[in-house]
Amino acid sequence: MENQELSNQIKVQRAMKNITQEELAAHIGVTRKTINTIETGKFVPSTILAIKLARFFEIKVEELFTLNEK
Amino acid sequence: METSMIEKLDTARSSFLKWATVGYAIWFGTYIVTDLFKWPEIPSVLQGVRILGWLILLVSGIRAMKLKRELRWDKKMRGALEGELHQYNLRRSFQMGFFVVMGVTAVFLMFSLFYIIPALLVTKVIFYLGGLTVLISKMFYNRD
Repeated sequence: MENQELSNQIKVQRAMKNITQEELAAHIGVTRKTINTIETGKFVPSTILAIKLARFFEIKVEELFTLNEK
Repeated sequence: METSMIEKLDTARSSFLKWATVGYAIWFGTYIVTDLFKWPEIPSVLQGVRILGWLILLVSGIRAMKLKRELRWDKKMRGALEGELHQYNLRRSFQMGFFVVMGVTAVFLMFSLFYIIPALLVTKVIFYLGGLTVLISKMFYNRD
């Protein structure tokens, strides 16, 4: 676990859909801070939240989040 | 608009937290200072500071209760504001408070081998530092 890092494509997907963190947060039902901390890698979302995000962007969870070796 | 309402409430909550921390630090801090210096009568300046701290804490508490009451009927808003990031930061804050309480208790236990320290002062200091740590930690974890 210590050698692994979770990265995500939320910022890229947001740019493709042209929406702000606040708008995304409202759609998902969380605060903008939650989206911001997930995007910057400071917070690892729960499975439920990860699935909600993936569904919103209409992509798979594995495409939105990637597990990298450090 | 619903979007900005969540953010407004989140910002308001951060504001209560900051002022509650200041109020608590000032109000309860004056009790510690009074006990440390063993004044027979509390200086009027300190009394004024204590009242100010108490007022700040009171107003923050009232505003927080109003927010809680507003959210009671709005499940979606409540879910957003009390979501997993909030719960995660709350847990971490209480963890920090726990470690500080344990640490300060250990320090007092060590000191008690060499000095006699009034039990009430020890209790107040542990309570003060534990509570303050939780509040400051929550502020720190909650920052943008």
